[in-house]
Amino acid sequence: MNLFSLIGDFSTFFFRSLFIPWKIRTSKGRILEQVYSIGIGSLPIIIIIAAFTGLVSTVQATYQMIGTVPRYIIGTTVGRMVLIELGPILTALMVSGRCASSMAAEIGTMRVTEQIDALEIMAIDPYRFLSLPRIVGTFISLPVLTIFAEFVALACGAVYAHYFLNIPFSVFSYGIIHFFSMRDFLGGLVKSLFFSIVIGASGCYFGFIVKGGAKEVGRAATYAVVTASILILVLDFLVAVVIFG
Amino acid sequence: MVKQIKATFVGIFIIVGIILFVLLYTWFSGRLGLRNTYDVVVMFDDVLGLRIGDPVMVYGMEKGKVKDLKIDQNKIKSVLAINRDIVIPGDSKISIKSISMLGADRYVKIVPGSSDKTASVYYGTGGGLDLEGFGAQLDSLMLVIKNFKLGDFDLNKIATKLTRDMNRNLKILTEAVQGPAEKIEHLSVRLDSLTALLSGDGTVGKLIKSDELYEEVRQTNQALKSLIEDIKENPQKYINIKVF
Repeated sequence: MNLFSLIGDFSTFFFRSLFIPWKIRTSKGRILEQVYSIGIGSLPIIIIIAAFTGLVSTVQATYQMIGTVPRYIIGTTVGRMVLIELGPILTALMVSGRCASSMAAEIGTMRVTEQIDALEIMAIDPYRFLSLPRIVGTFISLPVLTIFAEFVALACGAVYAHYFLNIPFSVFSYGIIHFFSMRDFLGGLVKSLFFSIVIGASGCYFGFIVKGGAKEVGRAATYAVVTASILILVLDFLVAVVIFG
Repeated sequence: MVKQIKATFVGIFIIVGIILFVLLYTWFSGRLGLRNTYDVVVMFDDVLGLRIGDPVMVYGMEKGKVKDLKIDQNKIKSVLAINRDIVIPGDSKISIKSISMLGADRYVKIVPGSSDKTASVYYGTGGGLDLEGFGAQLDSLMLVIKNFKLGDFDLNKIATKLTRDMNRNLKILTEAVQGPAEKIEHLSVRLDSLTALLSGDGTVGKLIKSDELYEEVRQTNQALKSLIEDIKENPQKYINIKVF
């Protein structure tokens, strides 16, 4: 399978999964299940990652800048960095590592054990039954996780700056507020929406195309994560050009 | 039952997410510190890039924030959220200043007046260092100067001619003044010596100053008068005209 046919196949799969008659009443339970496993399941790791992201970026920004610029610029730097890039990107990468792999493995195993064929025999659309809830679940969960991550990162950064770096909370906060623009905040969340689609779609796609046995299932999980990560960074660039360029 | 619990958790998760979103938004847009304030409406001609959330300084102390800005009939209507412990008198001076020379950091400066009354609408001036405006003015000035050169009259030529004329006139004036000046100087020297003469201990000085002399002259005068009267009455006593 060459690159072009992969892209074509992936796009077909994506449209096949989303542009079908949505039976919300029957899909609701499965979407809820996915939001639970992706959103709430990822929450602890996201909080830990975000906390340390905030701490590290505060320490580094202070190390680079203190003495050359006013202290509130530290708040500005950390705030914008977290809101525009670190929050959405790190959350998306963590969720892709945690969830895209599990989706690919799950669906891949079902494909290998012919459960998907069984669904088709029962006249149940496997795209609607398996991939739609996962993509929609990621779509709902990831922006919420991103907000959690941004909040935790900024709170940790501000607290650390207050107690250890001699930058009072009000000064840090002034730096964020003074240079805040709505575009940064919403831009980050719009990014996370795009990332969520990429994560869900690549996780399901590589599960669906598995042929063979256990080894292929493992490989599918790897491909899913690698593809999702690459696409996240490519999309990040594209969205940055469109929104901030 | 398990499904119900999961649904509850998902609900809590999403609601907390929305709350955090609102909280972050209020924090970042500077609306979090706007409790315990009241609104003051200030009209500006030009706000020089003032933004919502910029500080309001009273005597240089931060006592509020810019809450809202909008254009209202060729003016900018700005709403300032001021702390409740500050009263802004009606005759206060309100202006927009910049925190630093570079960059767009602005703040609203309030110097409270002495009036007892507050106003419903205040009027502010867009003071501060307006580098861009200054640059634009400088540009137009340069253009004017250029036009002077390009036009019918050359500013340089006029200036040269004016200087030459002025120099010539000054020379003539100096010469004209030179003669009288010398004379005046002589006069002044003489006047000085005269003053010295009059005020000193010399004869003239004594003559002028001495009371004794005055008294003597008066007495002599009186005696003379009585003598003349006596002569008039008894001329024979004094004048004996003998012919032969």
